[in-house]
Amino acid sequence: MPTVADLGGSARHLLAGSGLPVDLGALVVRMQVADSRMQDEFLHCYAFHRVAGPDEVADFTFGLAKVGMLRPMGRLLLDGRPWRDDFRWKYGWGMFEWGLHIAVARRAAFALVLHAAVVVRDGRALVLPARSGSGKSTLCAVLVGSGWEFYSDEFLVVARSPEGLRILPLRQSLALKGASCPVAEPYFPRDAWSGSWPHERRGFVRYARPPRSTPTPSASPGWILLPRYEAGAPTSLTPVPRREAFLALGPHTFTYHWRGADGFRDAAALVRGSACATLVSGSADEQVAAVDEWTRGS
Amino acid sequence: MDSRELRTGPGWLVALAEPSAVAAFTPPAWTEALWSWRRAGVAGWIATAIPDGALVAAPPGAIRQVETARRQAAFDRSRTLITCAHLERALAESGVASVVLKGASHILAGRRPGSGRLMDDVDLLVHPDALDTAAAALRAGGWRSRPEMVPNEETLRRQLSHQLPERYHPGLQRTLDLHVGLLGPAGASRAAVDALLSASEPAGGGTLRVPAPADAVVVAAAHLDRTLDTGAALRDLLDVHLLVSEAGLAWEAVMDRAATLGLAGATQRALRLAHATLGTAFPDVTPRRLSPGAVTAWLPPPPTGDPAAVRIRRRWIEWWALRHSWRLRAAIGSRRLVARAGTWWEKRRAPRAG
Repeated sequence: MPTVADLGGSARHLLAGSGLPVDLGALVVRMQVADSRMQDEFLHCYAFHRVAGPDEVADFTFGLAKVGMLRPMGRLLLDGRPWRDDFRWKYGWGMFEWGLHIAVARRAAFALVLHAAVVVRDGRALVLPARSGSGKSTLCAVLVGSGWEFYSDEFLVVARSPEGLRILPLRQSLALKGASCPVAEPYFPRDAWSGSWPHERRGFVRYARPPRSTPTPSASPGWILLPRYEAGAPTSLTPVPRREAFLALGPHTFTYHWRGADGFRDAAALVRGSACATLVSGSADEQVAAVDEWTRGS
Repeated sequence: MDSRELRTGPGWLVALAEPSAVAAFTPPAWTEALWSWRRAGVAGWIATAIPDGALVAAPPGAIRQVETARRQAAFDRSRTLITCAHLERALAESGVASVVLKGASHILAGRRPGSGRLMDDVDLLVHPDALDTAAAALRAGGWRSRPEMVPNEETLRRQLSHQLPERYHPGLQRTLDLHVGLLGPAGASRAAVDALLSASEPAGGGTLRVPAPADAVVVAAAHLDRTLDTGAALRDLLDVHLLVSEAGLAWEAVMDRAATLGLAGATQRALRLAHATLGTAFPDVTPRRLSPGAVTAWLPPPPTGDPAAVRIRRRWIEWWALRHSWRLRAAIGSRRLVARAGTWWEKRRAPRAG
């Protein structure tokens, strides 16, 4: 199936018109972006994403529009309706990526969705649930740059299937904010990076395009790692009881309330099938080494 | 006309009248249907109404989104019932007669439009004379006014609108729209409120009441007639269609109530539109068919833009709706401008004062 890059100029035509259906893994999203500068960012960040075929259903339609003449504002569109408050146009691409995250969470009540980065090796998923600013995306980026398969830097999607509980990919681009960028930059080729976009709390944000690869359709639970970045701290990876990991997942759920008891059971099954640990570190290389050692031994 | 005669509209529209029609949907038809149903705010209803048998051969994306809508609707139903229980408790001691309107009333009364309803807020109607008592009781029950957009907004809305600024309950995380009339300024529909309250029915086993079926049709018609969001108007039409079909309401019976409530024109338009778009069947009279342009203008616009005729018609509908609310919009808009000018002036003066 063609990727966005394979479509060439017709990708812009679709983005500006009826929408370009892009496969994110767990969902297919029809993207609508009319502004040419934002189209540039889209075509850069999503170049290696598969374009969904005519025999696939787009789960929802997501768009970014520029409104206003004197003071241009950005407007997110979810299924054709204005969604969330308008924002200053200078935040454009950052708001598109953020809005897409939230939109995905709203349209994925068919699965358990948690705020967590996910990378995969040998068909098993390493889940990194953490609050924003704890180094989750940075660790995800350095692991992807070190050979792990990228699933998501924002959402864990856990769905039921005849084979049991499966973790689905939800690939957007990797968002690195402020001081995280210099840490992750060496792990990606220079041309993988987007431009720099302002970010209210962390100064700026840049997006790294995931590497070109044939993604695996799903993975089984493998490990749950609770990361915390501390500048200058020695690297310490400590196994924790599963009950602690289960409680740590609680604040990160997005579709728990819609799934009710099913959500609880899925979260419990995920933890039951995973080895669990905490990771405190201030060095990217040491983090990778510690994770490699732990995941090979458990 | 029976709803089964409806075969000319787009597939997603036909499915609203006959949900099992989704069995014949192709993947592109599903994509358009999901988009249109959500755009019109009826995704939860249709997801609940589609029989499981019609999904056997559906593509995975469709099954995912039907399940998502079903789960969200089930959650919203629970939240709405909990909110109604809280409202009942808050208003119990005040003795104020109150009627739940629109989506929440359908859920509370177990009517067909309530099945799968996705809810943003709850609408409550009280008599204008009981407004202060009700507002105090709600305040005591934890319902808070949001910070006013403009000075004296509450007073302004009491004078010029049938709906007060929304209340919010932090514990429930729900919004309440408090109504003192059906349309227009509060005093204009006093007789209509009396009539609606006296014909209302108990629901949910408590003291909260819901409009009688014919009145519920009129309320939906009034909302349809004055909404500025023509895309979402289809939900009101579906309400009309389902209420008429469920209760077997006759055209004359609905129009009698509409005349009593002072909404005959709006109701007549809604009934004709429901007949033309969803094939709503009336036992006593077949309404005159509407032109295709008149119908299409009420439907959610396609992702790539509308034909010029539909665009013009839609602007006309929006103008029609705006015509009835311009006083309130002008009053709030001008006060907002004054407030902004004041803020700007204060900011300008601040460095000099320092």
